[in-house]
Parts: sequence; C-alpha cells; structure tokens
Amino acid sequence: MLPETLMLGSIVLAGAAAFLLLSYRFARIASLASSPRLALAAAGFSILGMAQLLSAASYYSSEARDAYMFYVGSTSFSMAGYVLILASASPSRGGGLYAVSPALLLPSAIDITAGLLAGVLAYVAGGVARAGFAVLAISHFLRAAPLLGGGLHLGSALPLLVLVGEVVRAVSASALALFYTKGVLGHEAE
Amino acid sequence: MRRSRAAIIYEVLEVVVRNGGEVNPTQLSLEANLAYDRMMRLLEKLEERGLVEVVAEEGRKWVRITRKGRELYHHLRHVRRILSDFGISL
Repeated sequence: MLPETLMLGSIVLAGAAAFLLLSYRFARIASLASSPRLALAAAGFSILGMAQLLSAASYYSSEARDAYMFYVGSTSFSMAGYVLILASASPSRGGGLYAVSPALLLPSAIDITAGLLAGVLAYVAGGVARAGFAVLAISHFLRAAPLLGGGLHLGSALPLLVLVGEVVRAVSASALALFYTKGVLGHEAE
Repeated sequence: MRRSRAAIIYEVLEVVVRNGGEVNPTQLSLEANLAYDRMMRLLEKLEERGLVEVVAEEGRKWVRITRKGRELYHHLRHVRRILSDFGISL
C-alpha cells in the first residue's frame, strides 16, 4: 500500500472518530435538554462519521469491487448525513431546503446530489462550517468529473480530477470534524 | 418565533445562574418570559432530572440550580455557538 494512501486513510479515520465523538456529545446534551433538533443533528454527524469509515475502507480494500462498494457507500452516507443536519437546521436559516433533496436524487449522479446538498449546507451554515461545506461541495463535484466533464474532452485529466476531489473531500471532512470536536473538548477541559 | 423546549430550558437555567444560582419562582417566571403554571410544570421535570431543586424556606419557594444543571447550562451555552455555525438553533 502506498504511504500516501496510508496517510490519507489515517486522516479519514481521525475525522471519523471526531464526527462520532461530536455526535456522542450532542446526543448526550440533546437527551438532557430534550432537544429533538440536536438529536437529529447528532444522528447526522454520526452518519458523517460512518461515511468517513466507509471512505477509509475503500482506501484499504485490495479488491476493486469492494473499494467501489465502499466508495459509493461513503457518498450515500455523506448525503444522508447532510440531509439530517439540514433537516435539523432552523427554518430561518433555510432548514426547510432539505425538502427539495429527493427530487434531486432521481436525475443526478450520487456525487452531484451530495455536492448540491453540501452546497445548500454551506448556504445555511456560518463560520468555519460554511467554508468546510463549501469545500466539500466542490470536492463532490470534482468526484463527479467523469459525468460532468464527459462532453469536455478532458481525457487523461479525468482520473486526476477524481483523485484530487477525493483527497479534498477526505481532508476537508476530517478537518471540519476535528475543528468542532476540538471546540467541544476544549470547552469541557476548561 | 416559538421557542423550542430546549431553548426554554436554557433560558430558565440562564436566569437562575444570572441571579447567583438561586431565584424565586415569580421572578424566574417573569425573567424567562414563561407563564407561572407552565414554568412550575417545567421545574418539576428539571427537578426529576436533577438539574434544579425547588426548596421552601420560611414559607417562600426558591429555585436552586444543581451542579448537574450548571454543567448542562455551560454545555448548552457553548454548543449553541457551534450549532449556530451549522444553522441549527436549540
């Protein structure tokens, strides 16, 4: 296995752990404060954590078929996570926008849908989360390059675009998770 | 806009903390902008969860925040800022 793959896999696994920890903290507070919205967000973050785990599994799979299965699974889980976080967002911040997502599922490739959902989240969110989701949206569109760029005669640049998209997605998702987990843990250590 | 239950819990805990950890129910009701009956029902739930205690001293009732309640208040205050980045309010 290439050292770069191992390194990326480690970053992705750290991101998975961070998302799952964030989800656990939110779920605990949600149960004490009776907040279904926070519980929904906790579920969304745990699914994003699982998406990271599937992503790592796709790097470590030696069989191309298994790697493909985990790759598609990671995008599907990311999408589900985005929808849950979007569903828990305040209506005043555009939370109701998740209602349009099923209509997008039909005609679009899975990464385009994930990219659109991440884009909507970037619109709804603020601060570092906004930047994070914006980068995630771009990364999903890069991963959809074979479909989007089919008519542009990109040739040998296509695999490179997909690779860049995957690296950007993996690193930005982990960075987002680690940033907010650090915030929560830093506060608890005070 | 209608406040969620979690937002009301946060505001009730905030009022108690702001008043030094102890407040009488009437003042709490006024400052938390909550009808007295509704607030007393909420306080029962919060007491069951060990977040506050309602004590009677010299014929007067007092609402005291517990250590667990104070912890939840600080967690909620911090998490609110993080959630706001994701477009989520309590």
